[in-house]
Amino acid sequence: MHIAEGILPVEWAAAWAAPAVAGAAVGLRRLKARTEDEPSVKSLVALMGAAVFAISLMPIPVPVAGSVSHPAGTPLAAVVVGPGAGIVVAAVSLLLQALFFAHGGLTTLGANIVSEGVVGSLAGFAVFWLARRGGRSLFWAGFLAGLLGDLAVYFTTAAELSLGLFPLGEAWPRLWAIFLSFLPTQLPLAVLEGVLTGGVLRSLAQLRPDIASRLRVSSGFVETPARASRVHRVRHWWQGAGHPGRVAAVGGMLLLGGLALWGLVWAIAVSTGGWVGLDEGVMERVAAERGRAAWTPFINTDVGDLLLFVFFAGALGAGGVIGWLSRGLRGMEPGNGGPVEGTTSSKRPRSLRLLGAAVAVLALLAVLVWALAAPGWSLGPVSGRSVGRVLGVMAHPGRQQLLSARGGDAVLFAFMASGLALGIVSGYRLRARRLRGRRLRIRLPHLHIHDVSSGDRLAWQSRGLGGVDARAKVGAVVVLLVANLVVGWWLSLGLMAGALVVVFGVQRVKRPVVLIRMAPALIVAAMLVLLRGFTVPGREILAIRLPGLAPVAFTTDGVLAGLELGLVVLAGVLLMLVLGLTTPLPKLLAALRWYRVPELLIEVGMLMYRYLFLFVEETGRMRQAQRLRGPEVAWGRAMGGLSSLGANLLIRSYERSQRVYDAQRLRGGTGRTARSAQGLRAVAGDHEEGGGRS
Amino acid sequence: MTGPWGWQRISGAQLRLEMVSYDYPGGVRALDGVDVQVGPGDFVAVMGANGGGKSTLLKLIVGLLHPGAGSISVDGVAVSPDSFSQIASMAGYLFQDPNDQLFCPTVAADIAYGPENLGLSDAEVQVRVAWAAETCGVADLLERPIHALSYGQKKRVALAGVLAMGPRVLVLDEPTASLDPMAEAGLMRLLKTLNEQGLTIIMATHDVDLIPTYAHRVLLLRKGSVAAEGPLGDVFAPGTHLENCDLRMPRIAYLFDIFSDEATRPLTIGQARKELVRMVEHGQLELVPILLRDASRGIAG
Ligand SMILES: Nc1ncnc2c1ncn2[C@@H]1O[C@H](COP(=O)(O)OP(=O)(O)OP(=O)(O)O)[C@@H](O)[C@H]1O
Ligand SMILES: [Mg+2]
Repeated sequence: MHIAEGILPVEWAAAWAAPAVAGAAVGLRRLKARTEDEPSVKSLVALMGAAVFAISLMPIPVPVAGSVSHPAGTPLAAVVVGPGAGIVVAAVSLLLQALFFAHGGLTTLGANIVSEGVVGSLAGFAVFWLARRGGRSLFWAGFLAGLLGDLAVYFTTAAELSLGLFPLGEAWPRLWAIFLSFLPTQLPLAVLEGVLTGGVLRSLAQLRPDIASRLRVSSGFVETPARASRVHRVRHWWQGAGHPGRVAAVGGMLLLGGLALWGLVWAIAVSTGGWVGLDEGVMERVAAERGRAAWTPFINTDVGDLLLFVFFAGALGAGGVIGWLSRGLRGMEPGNGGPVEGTTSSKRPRSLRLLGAAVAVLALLAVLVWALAAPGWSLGPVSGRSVGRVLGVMAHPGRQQLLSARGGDAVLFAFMASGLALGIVSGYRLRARRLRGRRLRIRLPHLHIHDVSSGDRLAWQSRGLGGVDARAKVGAVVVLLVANLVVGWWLSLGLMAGALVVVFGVQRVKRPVVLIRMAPALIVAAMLVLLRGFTVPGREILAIRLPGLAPVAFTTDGVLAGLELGLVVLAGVLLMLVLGLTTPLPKLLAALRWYRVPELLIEVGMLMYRYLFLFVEETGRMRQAQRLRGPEVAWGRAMGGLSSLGANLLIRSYERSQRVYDAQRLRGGTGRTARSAQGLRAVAGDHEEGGGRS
Repeated sequence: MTGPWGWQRISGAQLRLEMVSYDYPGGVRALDGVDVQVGPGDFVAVMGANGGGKSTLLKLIVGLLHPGAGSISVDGVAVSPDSFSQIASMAGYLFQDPNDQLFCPTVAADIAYGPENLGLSDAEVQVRVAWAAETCGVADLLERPIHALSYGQKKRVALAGVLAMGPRVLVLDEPTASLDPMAEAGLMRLLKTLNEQGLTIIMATHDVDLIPTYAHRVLLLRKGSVAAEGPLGDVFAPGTHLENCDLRMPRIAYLFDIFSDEATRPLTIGQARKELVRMVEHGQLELVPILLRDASRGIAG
């Protein structure tokens, strides 16, 4: 959900900075007020922040995607340390992420703080509070907070993107379009974030009820025997139910979920007054500008971008089946670590049979859908006609419009192709795992530990820009980032070249380090070029012509338009990288102090920096310890393990925060350290000055 | 370069614990009626099994915990929540885990934290940081972030932060644990020097072999009560049932035994040598000459 540097135009970057600053200011005020009567709360917030940061580095396995992802963490932080402090935690960690991973950005920091910090904390906390008031258990309240908080974060991001990228008048329908295109990947993630949030809170209350009640996580709620027995009954039923029973239960739940989603889509369609697709507005406008007739849109007929979702999911499912079956066809390989019983040949016919069955089922489905689509029924904004146009592609009279150069369809095909590819790969890998007698495996966050600390080591070197005063660097980079947004592509190109010279020529940073950090930005830039290349009409570079269909064209104008924005993004991220790779965080924070950033924020940042590494290492060690005691675990147990891991991390950070506060007091810190935090002066550039005087 | 105490002799503080008991929430009785006095300039080793109450005792002395019964005073100042900062300015406390103690981003910032809070000028702070870093052997690490230090280095930095405040009594929780042999010897020599200048030191430790060469007195805790207390020779005398406290005799006492028993139980040179080789193999190399000296002195006396 991090909006990359350079994506938002300067006026929107500034506009989002205002509520971000306001939110952070309120958060800081509340935190300060709490510090007055409970001085240890500052170290608590910083350490919890570091722990939540570490937790958000925990990769969560996503079975359908065959990959891992990371939770956002702010709903959990808001529940644990309060919504105000949650905003502070988010602000600091977004800053760290921007600099360590080139994740997010500095001009987009405001927008990101608003979505993840302000909205994520407030929504998460409000949901949690309401659910607790409504008598939900800790797990369910946490689950809802995580789920809805996560979705709220993405909704806000969609709003920010739509406002930033489209004219005001179009923003409202765009918002929904973008939000829906987030959903296919984000919905499972939001569910996972919910499970993790609820699980961590429940484990926390079980492991250390005293801490949970001191943090006001579990206060005012008593686990009633009735509720406990209800949970027990459900679990009991699940264990007792056979395969068909479980399938029916899960199927029913999915059906209900689908119906709810349908209702949501309907409501949205009604409220936005007809459905506008991802690029309809743009296309019509561009077409009109160039004096061409706009094609009848395909994606955005009546259902709009919902089809993106449907097609992605369909392609994913189909790909999954194909991948699963094709791995089955290969059979088992001896020496692959798998059981060698059952010869490969006896495996093949069964897979072929399965493949046949799958094809038959798909055909049946197609017929069913066709039957659905043929009659002219309509349900709200979705009609039989629209379903027919989507699914009865080839038979539809207007089919030459299906593959139009107008780009909408290109997006659709890109979605479908990626869904298919993802499905094949994950189906194949899941089957391979199954054949090896294994379940899903969770990877350790090694990359991140390595990445964080290697970047930190580089930043401490005094070579090249490392010796320049951090205040000067911060000022220069901020000015350049803004200029990068407003001036034009030639400046971006120049900045990019300059940054590359500094990174490789002066700082001698190794290529892999830069590549890892640049990877997200490179992907964003490539997507921008592709998207605009297909969507902006102009001189064609490459056109795919199929008989009877309109050509899909990749145009020079589109590439140029994409490159222009892509350049801004790349230049912005590279600039941040230069700052991050030449300035260690303590110096950076000291510089921000000079720029009058509130002291409390700086102190929290310093403590977070100190403990982040400890927690990241600790997570790694704890995960390893858990894995050593049970190397391959099923998904459900893995989630349980992650939850207790997260809870343990929170407990450790709570206890450590108390000891850190003790350590501060013993050396004269009052918890309201006035001068002490300036001890950094010794390292923040004017070291010689202090040494000279002594 | 002088330490925070200047050229003068350090006026070590004196500790007095009267019938101190402490219960952790949850009902664990960690200390039970502990009655101890530590004179100015004393060097006391607190020993006992894991969970014996050593850390609890030390925390009580600096006021991190408050006794359920009994009273504690440092140089006549009663330890209480109100006198916390007064006590903190006299007593330097070293945490068992340096990761708890070091909370600033860099080594220099962490050592400077205490002196700055004492209201010293920048120049004075710089002098103290330089002195403490030099003394604890971390002068070349000053610019490093804390997380880039090894565990033993962290322990040294933590001690430097405590020393930079110029305390009058050092309260150390296992300062030598996980230090390398040279660092351990160096640290103990430093403590000995400071103690000779008058600094009072009370330290928890499991290292029985270290104690005889440095500490004057031993306080033996067993399940929260004092099992034995007094000069080294008394506590490690043949009559004390050290096994009850999960302790053994220091190897030096062993050797002492062997040599002094010579009259009654003939000991061949070969046997004595074997005993020595065993000690060397156990890493007590540095102690051997001291042992021999002390042992021969003991025999002579
Ligand atoms: N926070 C705590 N809550 C409850 N009980 C505690 C706590 N800390 C210590 N205890 C208990 O108090 C007793 C004394 O603990 P203490 O830490 O003082 O032992 P110690 O002598 O320092 O041990 P070690 O050699 O392992 O450091 C032990 O039984 C321990 O289990
Ligand atoms: Mg202890």
